[in-house]
Amino acid sequence: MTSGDETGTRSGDAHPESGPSDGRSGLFEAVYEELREVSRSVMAGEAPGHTLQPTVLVHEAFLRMSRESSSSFADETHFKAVAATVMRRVLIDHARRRTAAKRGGGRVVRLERMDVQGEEGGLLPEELLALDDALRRLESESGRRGRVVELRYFGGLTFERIAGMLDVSVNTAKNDWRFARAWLQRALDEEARDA
Amino acid sequence: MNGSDAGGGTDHEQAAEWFIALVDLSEEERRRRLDGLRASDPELAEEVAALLRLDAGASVLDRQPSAGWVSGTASEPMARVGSGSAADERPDTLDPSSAGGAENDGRGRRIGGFELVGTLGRGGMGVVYRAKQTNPQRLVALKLVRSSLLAPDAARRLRFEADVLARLKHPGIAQIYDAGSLDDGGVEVSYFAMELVEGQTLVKHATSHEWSTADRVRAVAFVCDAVHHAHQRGVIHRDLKPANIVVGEDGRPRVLDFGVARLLEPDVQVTTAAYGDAAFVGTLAYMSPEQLSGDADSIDTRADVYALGAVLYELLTGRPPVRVEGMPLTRALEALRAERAPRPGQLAPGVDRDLETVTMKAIERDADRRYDSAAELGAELRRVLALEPVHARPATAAYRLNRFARRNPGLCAALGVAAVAGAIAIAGVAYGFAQSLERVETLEAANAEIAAEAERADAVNEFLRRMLVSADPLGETGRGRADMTVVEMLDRESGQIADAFAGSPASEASVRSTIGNVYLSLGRHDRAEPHLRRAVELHEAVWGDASADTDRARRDLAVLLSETDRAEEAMPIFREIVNRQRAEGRADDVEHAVTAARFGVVLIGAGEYAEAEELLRRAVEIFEGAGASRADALPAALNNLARSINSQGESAAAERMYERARDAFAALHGADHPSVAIADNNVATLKHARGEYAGAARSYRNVIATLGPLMGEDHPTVATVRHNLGFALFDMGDLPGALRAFEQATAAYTATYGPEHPETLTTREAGADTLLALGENERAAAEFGAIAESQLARNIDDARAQRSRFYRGMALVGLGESDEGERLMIDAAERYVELTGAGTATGQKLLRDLTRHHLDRGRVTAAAAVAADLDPNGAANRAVLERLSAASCG
Repeated sequence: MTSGDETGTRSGDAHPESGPSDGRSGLFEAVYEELREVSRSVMAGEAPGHTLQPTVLVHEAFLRMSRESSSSFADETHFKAVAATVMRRVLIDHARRRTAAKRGGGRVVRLERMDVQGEEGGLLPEELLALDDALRRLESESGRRGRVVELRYFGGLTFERIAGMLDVSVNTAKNDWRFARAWLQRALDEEARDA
Repeated sequence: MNGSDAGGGTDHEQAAEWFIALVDLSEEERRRRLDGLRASDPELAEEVAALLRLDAGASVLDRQPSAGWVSGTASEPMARVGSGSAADERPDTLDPSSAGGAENDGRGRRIGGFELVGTLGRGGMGVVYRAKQTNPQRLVALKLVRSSLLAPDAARRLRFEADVLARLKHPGIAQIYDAGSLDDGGVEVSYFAMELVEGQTLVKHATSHEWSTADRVRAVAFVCDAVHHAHQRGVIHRDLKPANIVVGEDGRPRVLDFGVARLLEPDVQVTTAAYGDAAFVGTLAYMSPEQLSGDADSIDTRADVYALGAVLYELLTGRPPVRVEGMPLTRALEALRAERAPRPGQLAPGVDRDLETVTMKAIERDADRRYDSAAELGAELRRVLALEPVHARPATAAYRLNRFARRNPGLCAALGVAAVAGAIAIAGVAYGFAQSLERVETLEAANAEIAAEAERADAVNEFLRRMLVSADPLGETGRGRADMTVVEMLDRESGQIADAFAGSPASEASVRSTIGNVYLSLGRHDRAEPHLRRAVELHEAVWGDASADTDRARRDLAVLLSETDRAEEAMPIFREIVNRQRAEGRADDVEHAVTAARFGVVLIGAGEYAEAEELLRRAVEIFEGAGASRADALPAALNNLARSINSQGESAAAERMYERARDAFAALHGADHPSVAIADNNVATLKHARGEYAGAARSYRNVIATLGPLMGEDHPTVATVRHNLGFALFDMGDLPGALRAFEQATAAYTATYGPEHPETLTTREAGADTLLALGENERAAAEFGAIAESQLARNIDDARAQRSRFYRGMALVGLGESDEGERLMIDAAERYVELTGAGTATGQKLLRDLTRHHLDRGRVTAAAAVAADLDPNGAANRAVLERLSAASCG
């Protein structure tokens, strides 16, 4: 532990070496690194036979990281909670790039190949972006419900673990999900209607 | 997440409440209630109705988040809404029996030299079967765990351990017969076979057989013998609990799951199976604090002693020392860390006092204060039974602080820069707080002192009496004392001192000291300084260099210097005083303690933690010994001692100390006092550093809720706690929540210090980092730009300014302005490395991000050039370095 660990102490202490998010081989950084790389190679079509289902990727990343004894994360639930956030970002970024590509100038070839192999029922990039917007609106109405959706949808956490993470009852978590399910669909319908 | 997270009004919450209330009702009932609602709030009714309709239909959330780009692999079905727990669990809890395709309870299945006959129960990671062993012929209890679920070498070690375990032969230990790994239809399965003991677990048996207290104590003493037998053969159980102690038909308890517990339950904290599992959470209640805090390799026999104590506790009172059943995991861990067990006598009246003492000693949180061995505990229990005096003594108020043997540097070193800083900052404030509290008392004490001294010296008496008591001492203003502030009074009078005491330097020295201290306590350092300096001169002249009174005057001056940013001047003075006090055998005096305590704070500020710790420990010892007379100084000293310990990386010991400080603040001022809340924050930062983000976040929120109204929502202290909360939320992945917290903290700091103060900037940086992580590139770019400007203007923050510039660049790239963004990133990274080198955490992060940036654009050569300065052993660097080497070779 370096003596430069004191950030912003009062009266006259030396300014820190590391900033807020640096050197915190804490979870977010580590998960971010891991998941970005894992997802990137899949999305770039470099890993044939690999699925881009977030929950599977998250689980794989967890297994990978747990074999690296240098990781300092606390437990699988926590890992997945952070991974949910990261996964969402990664997917949205990717969806943005893909929709931009569609609009003109981009890797159209790769796009087609992926579309052809698309699975039933998955969201298309445009839909994913719309969902992200709707989810942000839900977050502004109720931070807790937004988080429940994020943890479940992108992280694949069970209601029990979500409840533990957010310090609510399992019923609350389930109710939140159920309500959000309807609310988000309505938000999307409204968007589609207005568009 | 509490209600305050809801950004919108109550419409949303109302809709949600109605929705949940109605969603599972019959069509008819729904309609009826909606009609009722329509009468009072048609809009709300419409919204709820619309949502209910959607509930019945398909929703976007039913579909996979991404169109899977796959050929041919089967997809994982998303768990259904509202389904129960079993279906929701990840496949990593596969029951080995299901892998073999056998019937549910495995009956009839053959595996290795065993035939499964039935199921005895499910453990954390596997199932325990009743089985017939063929050779030798006997019935055994057979535990099976899929090898892939274990740590990589556990399966292998199992075979070696089996020999050690087989050598445990004691009537109180379920005999272990064999252990190893088997092939079960192509899947490797680890097993161990042990003596089949049929009976109830210990607590249940005691209840159903109506055991007396003596019976229970005897049973535990017997188990102690068994556990000690194992300890002598080098085996620690690590997972003792009532469920692991079975009482056979003959009334004899037997311990199960020895040693193998560690092998077949990979590091219990990280068990992937049982998360949120209520049964698992329940077992934590018997685990020693050192096991819970995660330093698995420093566990020794005393961990088992703790468990034995916890079992005994439950046998006496009906509950474990800390109750956690039914709690979510994070809350359970918090409770286990923070709560203290009530004395058994409080729960079960009539428990023998000695028995109580023995039990409490066995469950001491500090392993050094427990019984060293199970044998000792057993012996004590036998003494209780025989009505002989026990050796343990009840804990007394005079608590000797020992050097803590256990080190726990790992987590603290890795995490929580600002969180730790929060603690430091707050601790500084807490001390300041205590000081300002002291000051009020000092003022009163000063009055008392003045009055007392006034009795000693007539001239002094006259002067001060006039000053403080008379309405208008010099008859000039016509204003009464009530209209004058103390400072004004002092100002008026202090000019007269020299004349008033000409020829009485001793008296003058006293008065100067007193007045200087009064000014100091009022925060008027500028006015205090001349008096205190003069006081030192006079003391030296009158009483000489080496007198205790002179030292006290010098100390006052040193305190002033340390509070006015002249620590380097203060330190030599402090050191000289302390040395002299030691040399003259005054190192046990309260005076020494006060000096040591103040010096300790200054040393912490200077980074001399070890020396600070030594001094502060001494001070704490003395203050404690002084009891009520110095109770006011104790909490702050404890708090600062905790700081010094924490800064040396001993976070477990520091946490204990912070908790003691907290308790001391509460004892002194009452639990509602702000200092207690601040102390809670300090404890929370250590939880935070340990990875208990949810618990820490909760604590931070409580502190904010307490301090906000008391100190003002904009108070910098409250802002620091919000800043800490932001980090905890960030670490939990709740970025929007983190951003909110950082923004609130920034607003508060800005209101007090302005937007460019280093405190404010640090928090703004955290907010900007969060914006970037959220993908809000535009706002991030703007904010980083503004921060960089401020940092550059300050001229001492060049390195941090470069970091801000770098991330502005990255945000610009994210916005599509690749050229400008990249130029900025490259330039900033270069300058940063020039200023501080590449070896810092920030430097590595910048280089890592730059490497990735190049790789994203296919510029492998450029990436490799940047990556040359990345530490190949850095955990965070691994992913990007792997990608680089893949790209270089491909």
